[in-house]
Amino acid sequence: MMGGVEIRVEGLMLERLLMRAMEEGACFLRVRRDGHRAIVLMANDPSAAIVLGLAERFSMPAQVLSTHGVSTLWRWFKRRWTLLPALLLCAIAVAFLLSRVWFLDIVLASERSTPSDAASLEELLDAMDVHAGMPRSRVNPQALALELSARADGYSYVGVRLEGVRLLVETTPEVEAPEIFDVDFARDLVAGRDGVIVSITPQTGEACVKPGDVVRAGDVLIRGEEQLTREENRGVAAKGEVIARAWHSGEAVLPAYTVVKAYTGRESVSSSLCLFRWEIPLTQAETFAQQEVCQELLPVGGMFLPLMIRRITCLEYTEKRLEADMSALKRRLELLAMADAQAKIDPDGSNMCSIFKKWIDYEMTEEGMLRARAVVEFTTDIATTREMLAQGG
Amino acid sequence: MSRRRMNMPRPEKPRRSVPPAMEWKGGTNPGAARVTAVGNRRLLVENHTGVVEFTEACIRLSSKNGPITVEGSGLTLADMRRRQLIVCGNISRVTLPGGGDPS
Repeated sequence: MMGGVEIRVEGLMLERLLMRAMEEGACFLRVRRDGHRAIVLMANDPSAAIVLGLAERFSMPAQVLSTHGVSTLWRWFKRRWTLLPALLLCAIAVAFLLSRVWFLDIVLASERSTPSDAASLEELLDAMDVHAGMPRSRVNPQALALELSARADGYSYVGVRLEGVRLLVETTPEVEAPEIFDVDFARDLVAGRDGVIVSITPQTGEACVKPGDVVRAGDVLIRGEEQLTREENRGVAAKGEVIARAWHSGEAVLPAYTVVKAYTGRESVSSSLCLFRWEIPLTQAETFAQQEVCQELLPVGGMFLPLMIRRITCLEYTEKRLEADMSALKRRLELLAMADAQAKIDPDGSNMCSIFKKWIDYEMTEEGMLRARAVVEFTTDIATTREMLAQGG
Repeated sequence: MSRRRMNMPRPEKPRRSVPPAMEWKGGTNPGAARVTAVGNRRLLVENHTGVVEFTEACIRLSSKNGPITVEGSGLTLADMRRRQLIVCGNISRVTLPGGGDPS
């Protein structure tokens, strides 16, 4: 639509006005009657100018009702010319915002990942001058992924993707390589703790114990030797599984009585006048061997003068021991002693242990305390190397 | 099933030397007014020489052959140029010059 102006013209010979206008080159998009003495016509800008000129010449009242199309748009833009720079600025701002990386997300796609992995990757990206706010054109995801893979240790996969204004780094920590077993490195397997052998399964080396044997920590379980011929042996790295019964005990002690206070009814009251750190004693009070002290501060001077009376009341009491509920006490001791014993079984979780028996016994001490001793019997693989035993494992 | 298999004779194409539109226009005066109606809502008038009367009920146009009268209700003019215009509205009667009355 090129534009149109809607004009209302009043007069008697309006048909002649139309014909005269068309003779001067005007054309009309739409013409309709508006009563007996008026027409409403829609024309483009040049034709509207012709019609308005003719109406003025012939003294015919003409009124522009509305304007449409490009001319109207142009006038609208002329009235709001400041919109154009604003739109331009907005476009520049949007282009600037879209040309940079504003979000740097690190996704650790594995349960083995730890928060420290993300922190170390962030430090690595900082060292590579990759940070939020950098231009997108400076980010080459493929090169960045290769460089990250080369620099970061412990990742089996590093992927970098540029998604709009977001740089997404996906990593998967590598699975730890299994322990390399050097069969020619001669070693023995010894008992890591005291126990009774349940089963022994040597894979390399020669078994030195049999089921039912009692071993102490340090005893050789599988010797690292293999017989090549009748006269010749060679050293090998002993390997195998030695399941043994072992024990751990735990203790818990609780008093077998409860102490209650019995107030004698005697009490003494002392008071003193206090102002900041100064204190003037007003009355003295008697003190008791066993007493409960209650202190009250009574303001005298009000809000603006912190003058107050400190009142101390001493209540005399004696302590009485009452026998505790033994069944409840034993239940509590059992829980504590069992927890103590079980905490000693494989605290680092390196060996698989299965508890198959546990018991508890109680004894009363001379001080009136009840002691519980829990023993937990379990089976575990006690075979270890001498080096590990020396380190405590 | 194809026509050849059915052994049916191929229909002959009609032979015409002049297209029907040209044949329809043949023999008319090039400057004569031409009136084309589309239903009873629009009427294209070509080669008119002026608007003599314009009301909502009647539009009278002049042409070389004589006046053309369009009667109806709610009549308006659209796409009005020097030699042609379109009459819109409920057209009930068109009176052509020379006594013809096609409505």
